[in-house]
Amino acid sequence: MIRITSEPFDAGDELRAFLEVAGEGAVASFVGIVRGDGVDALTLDHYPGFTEKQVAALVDRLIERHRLAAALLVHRFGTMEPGETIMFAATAAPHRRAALDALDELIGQLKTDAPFWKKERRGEAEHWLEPPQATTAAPQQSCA
Amino acid sequence: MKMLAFGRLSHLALDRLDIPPEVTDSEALRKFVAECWPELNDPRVQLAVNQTLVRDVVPLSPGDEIAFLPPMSGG
Repeated sequence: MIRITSEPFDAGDELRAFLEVAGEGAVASFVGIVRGDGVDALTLDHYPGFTEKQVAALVDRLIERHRLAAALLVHRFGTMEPGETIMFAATAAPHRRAALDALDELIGQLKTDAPFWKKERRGEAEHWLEPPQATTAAPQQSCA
Repeated sequence: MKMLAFGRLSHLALDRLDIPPEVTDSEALRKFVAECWPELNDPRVQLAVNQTLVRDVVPLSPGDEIAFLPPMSGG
């Protein structure tokens, strides 16, 4: 199950609810929290509908590959400040190795494949983050 | 045709462009919009048609939703 939301959420509440459906064996969970490091705010843009579809497909593939009993991903979009929870992920499986491996893969693949676009604000300056090999955008013309 | 852009492209006023009738496929659309915004011709900018990523040239219809997706920064 996935939820992409602009609303703040409580990772503890999410974990408690997940444990109700997780079954026996092992549950692994991860909480992502916005880092400071001089950043005043982090904004995540997403493509409504498309982002949900891509992330759900990623989670479904992991459920199948690791034979998970259940998986949950809750991810924020919009503007957040350092210290706010940006992501909660949990996996459940009959044995710990599957739950831990699936969780690690889920977090890793979200970092590279999830359709989110991040913008940092440091003081008055804002800039979009992109993978390091990004080319520099050409100067913009004003057509419209 | 509804056009969207995200991330560093999200400020582009794509919806204010009038698409001429001769633009009937994704390649022609890319060329047309790149006349105004050359950054849309960056090969790293992916195109989604009706919320599906397309890599080849595909025909477009007036009711289609077209999205320009710059490199994703992940979750």
